Amino acid sequence: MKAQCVCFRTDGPVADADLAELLGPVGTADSGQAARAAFIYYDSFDWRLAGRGLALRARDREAIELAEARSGRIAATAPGRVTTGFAADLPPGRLRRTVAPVIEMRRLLERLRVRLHATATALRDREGNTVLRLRRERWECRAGGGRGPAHRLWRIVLDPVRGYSGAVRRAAVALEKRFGPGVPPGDTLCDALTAVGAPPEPGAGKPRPGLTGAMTAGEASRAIHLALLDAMTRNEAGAAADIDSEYLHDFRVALRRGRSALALVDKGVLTPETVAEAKAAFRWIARQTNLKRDLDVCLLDLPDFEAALPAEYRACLRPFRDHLLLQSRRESRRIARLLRGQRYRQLRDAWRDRLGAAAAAGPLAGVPARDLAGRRIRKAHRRLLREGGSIDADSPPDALHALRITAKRLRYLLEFFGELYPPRDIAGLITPLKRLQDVLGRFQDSVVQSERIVAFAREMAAAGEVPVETHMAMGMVADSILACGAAARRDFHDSFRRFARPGLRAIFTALFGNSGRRERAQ
Amino acid sequence: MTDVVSIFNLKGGVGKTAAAVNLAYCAARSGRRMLIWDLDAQGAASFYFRVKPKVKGGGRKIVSGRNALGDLIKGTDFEGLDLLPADFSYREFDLRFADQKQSRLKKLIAPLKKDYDLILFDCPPSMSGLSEQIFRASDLLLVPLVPTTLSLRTLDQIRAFMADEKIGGVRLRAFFSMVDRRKRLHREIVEARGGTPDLMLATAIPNASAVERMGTERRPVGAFAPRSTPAAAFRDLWAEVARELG
Repeated sequence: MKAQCVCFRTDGPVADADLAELLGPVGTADSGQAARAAFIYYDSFDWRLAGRGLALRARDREAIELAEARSGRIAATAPGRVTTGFAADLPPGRLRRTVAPVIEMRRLLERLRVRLHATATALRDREGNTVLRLRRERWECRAGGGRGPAHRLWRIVLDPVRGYSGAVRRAAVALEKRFGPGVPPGDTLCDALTAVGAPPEPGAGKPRPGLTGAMTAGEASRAIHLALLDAMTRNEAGAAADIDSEYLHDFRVALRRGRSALALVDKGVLTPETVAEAKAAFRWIARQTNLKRDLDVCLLDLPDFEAALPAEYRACLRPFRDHLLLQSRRESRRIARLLRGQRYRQLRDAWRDRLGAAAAAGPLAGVPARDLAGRRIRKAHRRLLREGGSIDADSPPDALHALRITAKRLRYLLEFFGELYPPRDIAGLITPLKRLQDVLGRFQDSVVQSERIVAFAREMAAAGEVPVETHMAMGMVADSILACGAAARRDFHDSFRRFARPGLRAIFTALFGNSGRRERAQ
Repeated sequence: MTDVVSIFNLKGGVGKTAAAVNLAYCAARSGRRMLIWDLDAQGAASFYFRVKPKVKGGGRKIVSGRNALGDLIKGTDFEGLDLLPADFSYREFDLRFADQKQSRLKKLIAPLKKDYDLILFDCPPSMSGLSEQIFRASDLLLVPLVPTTLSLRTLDQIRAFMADEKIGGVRLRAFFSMVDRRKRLHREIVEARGGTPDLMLATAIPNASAVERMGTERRPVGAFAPRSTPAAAFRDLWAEVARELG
């Protein structure tokens, strides 16, 4: 079996003489070869690559390398540089094929700059065979963009030579005695990121209120809203700078969840005046960002629109693309003014201050959070079953749109209060609910998207001459979207039947029913 | 995905091992994780890499599967380049593989593919049961040809063998080796690309003293004479092979 690389962190450089003394019993060190390299490490805002155990870096601005984060093994390389940071702009090949599905529409951001100084040494046995390779490395690290002070890390990397596993074992024992336990190579990258103030936090984007079984409804409401406010705040700078579409999307998702929480959680928990004021504030913020999101979605879907057209019509969508980009840039500037503006900040900060104020508490604030959760979830579940069960092949589209909203409410409630219940049980409910939502989403999105395209076509016509072929192409795109919607409509009944099955109903009753509730282990 | 390349010719002394060793070196330098298996009982590739031509249990235990190939691999002095050494018992490989399935060798190397990007066979000069196993395990068969009439016949013989045994799925390419530009016959044959331009790679390896010095240096040419003509030729040959592999 192939031995793995192992690293030893040192407090400073290790001199040749010290190394020779430490590893003399293992072999004779040849005179080391010095090398330098400059790396820039990239990841998305939400650390998607780190979450998949990957590390992407540009080397000397000549090549891009994708490594397994833990072992440091290079999995793919590509000549070139990271330009825009979007997957489509990476050099084609295996590296791009691996990275693209992980980061999707997110932009790669510079996370770390490293100037590496390395001395590579080979240890040889008495016969002159290379039995072990090692590198002494000094990392000079700065935050992405080269900002801030430099931090230095030193390490010794043992690189085993096949067939000489005894050598690496003996070397590791000797180094461990002096420098402490060996660690996988990936740990140094984590240490470097932490040193520059950018520790990788995959999945940190999801708001976690930190609910406990001992909380009252009022405490739970505050925790939920604060987590959502934090999510909005975290995404403000990225949304204002329009780094990629997901900042605004995540900002709006947190905003939407906040509005849902006001409707689903806070009735009776906060005073009606508090709820009304917050709803008005959120509604105003949401309205300012609707158009930009519509434009982002269209731009993200544009490659699919083009693919849906016969080849001779694809170029005809270019005026449509230009129109979207122009509007998007204009809206982006407006969003930046909004998020940096006084009104938004005052509303946001006032809401944060209001949460937890005694004056905001409603009559149900003191009720145990679990009791409130159980009641609200039961009610939402019953409503979903009732509304879904009444939809048949002749029901108008509005019925499915309304059901989508009902399903979303149930999902939000499960997510808001999920921490109060066993995680596997909650996951077991959310998964089938998600599938139902996907089908309903495909249906509604098809209607909304095709209407959007018609609206854009009208805008473009009003703004000036647009080739007839462009309108035709946009019409074809709208048709193909509606066809997808029709397929979703056909899938709905099967999907709802699976959600409404007795086994799942029994789980809802067991978790949220009036008696026999399963509690999360504290 | 791991590629398997075999350097093969049923004629001896055409520069197979020199090509195998130097291509392996160039591949490792280009960043590929490289394994070269010295299948020739003579052990020349093992000699060039300063590795003892000995494997525990010999060829018998390899073919029977009693010894995992991974346990027999040795690192070389070159980073990213490992060697499965030769053993004198490999002279009996034809016997050992005789009662095995045609894909036995392919199966034996399968577990190594997760550790290497490229596996290269330095093959013995013969046409035999082992050859068939090698062909069936390979993605690319590279045939070094000295530009003489007799040598060119071997390419036809290899093609005929592959057709008779219905060996598909492996690409066949050839290149000129040990080319002496002072000889008119060599020049003419190289210029005519041996009459098979679709099979011939463009790079020709010159007959050069630097290649002969591998025996005393015990290193690939690129390691001790990187600026020499043969070192540059091997780099060019590797570039062509890498393009063939995609």
